[in-house]
Amino acid sequence: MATAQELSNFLAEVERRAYRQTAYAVRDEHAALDIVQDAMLKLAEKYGARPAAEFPMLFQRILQNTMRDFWRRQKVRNLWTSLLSSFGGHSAEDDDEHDPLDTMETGQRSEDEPEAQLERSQTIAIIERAIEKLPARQREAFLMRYWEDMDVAETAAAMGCSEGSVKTHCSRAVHALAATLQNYGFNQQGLKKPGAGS
Amino acid sequence: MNQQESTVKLVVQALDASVEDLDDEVIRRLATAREHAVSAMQPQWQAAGHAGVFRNLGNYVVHHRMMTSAALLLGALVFGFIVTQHVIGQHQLEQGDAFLLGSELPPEAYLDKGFDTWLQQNAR
Amino acid sequence: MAATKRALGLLLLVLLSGPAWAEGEGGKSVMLKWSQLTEDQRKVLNPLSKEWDTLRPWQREKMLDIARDYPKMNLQQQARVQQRLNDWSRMTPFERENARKKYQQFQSLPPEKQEELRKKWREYQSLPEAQREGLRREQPDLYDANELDN
Repeated sequence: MATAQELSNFLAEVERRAYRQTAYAVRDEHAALDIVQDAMLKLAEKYGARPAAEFPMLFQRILQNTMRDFWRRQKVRNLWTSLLSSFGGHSAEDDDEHDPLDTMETGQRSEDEPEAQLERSQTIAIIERAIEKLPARQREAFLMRYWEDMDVAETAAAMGCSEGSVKTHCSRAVHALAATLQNYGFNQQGLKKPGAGS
Repeated sequence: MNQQESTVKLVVQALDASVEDLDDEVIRRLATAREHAVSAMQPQWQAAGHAGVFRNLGNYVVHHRMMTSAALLLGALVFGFIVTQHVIGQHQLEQGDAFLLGSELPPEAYLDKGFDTWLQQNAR
Repeated sequence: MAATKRALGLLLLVLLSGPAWAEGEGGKSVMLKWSQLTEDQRKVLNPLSKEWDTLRPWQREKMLDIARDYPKMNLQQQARVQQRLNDWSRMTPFERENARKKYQQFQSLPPEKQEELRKKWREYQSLPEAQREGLRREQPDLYDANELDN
C-alpha cells in the first residue's frame, strides 16, 4: 500500500512528461493541464491504496480515459471552430497547415539567439510535431514504452490491449517517426536544412 | 546503432528537452495539482507536508546531480518569471473569464450544439 | 563547515522549488476559504458563497481573477457576470476551456460579424425549445472512434 510520500514522489517524477504527452494528444495546453490535474486527482482518490509499483500503469490508464472524455467534448468545439473560420475568424487549427519550420518559436525568440540554440529548438519543434501527428494509439504506445520506460506488459495493461498490439503500435510509430525525420534531413548529428540532404 | 534505435534516441532526447523548456506557469500549476491530489489521498498529509517536499527535492537533486547548476539557474529564472508574470497579468484587459461572462453572448452560446446547427443552416 | 554546507543545500532546495514554494508556503490565493475572502471579493462572488469551499484550487484562482477584473466593467457587464457565475462554476473544465477559446475567436472577428452572430443567437433563443432540441440532435458527430483507435 502506497504512502502519501510515494504518491507525491511518483507524481513529481512524471507530471511534466504527462503534461507534454497530453498536450501532444489534445493540442491544447490549457486542456492538457486540466486533464493532468483530473488524472492526478483520480489516481489519488481511487487508487491511492494500491501499491506504488502499480502507479505508472494506473496513471497512464486514467490519463488515457480522461483524454477520451476530452475528445468526446471536442466534437462540439470543432464544428464551431470551422464555422467561425467560415465567418473569417482565426482558429488555432490553422496552424496545422503550416510547415513547422515556419511557425516554430523563432518569432518569439530574440534575434541574436545563437544559431546552435535556434537549431536545437527547431529540432525539438519538428520532433514534437511528428509526435503529434502520429495516430493516437501509436503515440501512446511509443511514449509509454520509450519515454516512460514502461515494459510491454505494463503498457498493454495501461492501454487495455494485447502485448502484441503494443509491439505493433511501437514499431509503426518508430517507422513513421524515422520517415518524418528523414524528410527533414535529420541525421545522427542533428538537423540539416530541409531538402538539402535528399 | 541501427536507424530505429537512433530514431528512438533522438526523439526521446528531444522530448526530454521539451520538458526542460516548460513554461514556469505550467510547472507551478502541476506542482499545485500534485499537492492537491496528495492531500486528497490522505488528509493528515498536511502535517508531514514540508518535510516531504524537502525529501522529494532531495531525491531530485541526487538523481540529477549533473544538472544541478543548470537547475539552479532555472530556479532563479523562475522567480523572475513569477514576478514579471504577475505584473503582466494585471494589464491583460478584456481577456479574462470576467469579460467572457460579461459579454453579450453567454457562455452557453459557445457550447450549444443546436446553435451550431442553426448557424450552419443560416450561415450564408 | 557542515553548517555552511547545509545552508547551501537549503538555498539550493529553496531555489529549485521556486514554483511549488510560492504556492505552498505563501498560501497564495488558491486555497482561500470563503471566510478568508475580502469583502469586495465576497460581494462579487456572492452567487458562489455556498459552493465556494468545494471548488478546486485552480477554479478558485480563476474566480478570484473574475473578482479582480469586475471593477473594470460597466454595470451591464457586471450584472451579466453575477447572473452567469453559478452556471459557469458548474461547467466542466473542458466546457469552460471551450467557451474561452471560442470567446477569443469571437473577439478576433470584425465587428459586423460579431453583430451577426449576436443576432443569430437572439433568433435562436426565440425558437421554441422543442425546435432547439431538434437542432441539437441534428448535429453530426465530427469525431468518430478512428481518432482513438487507429
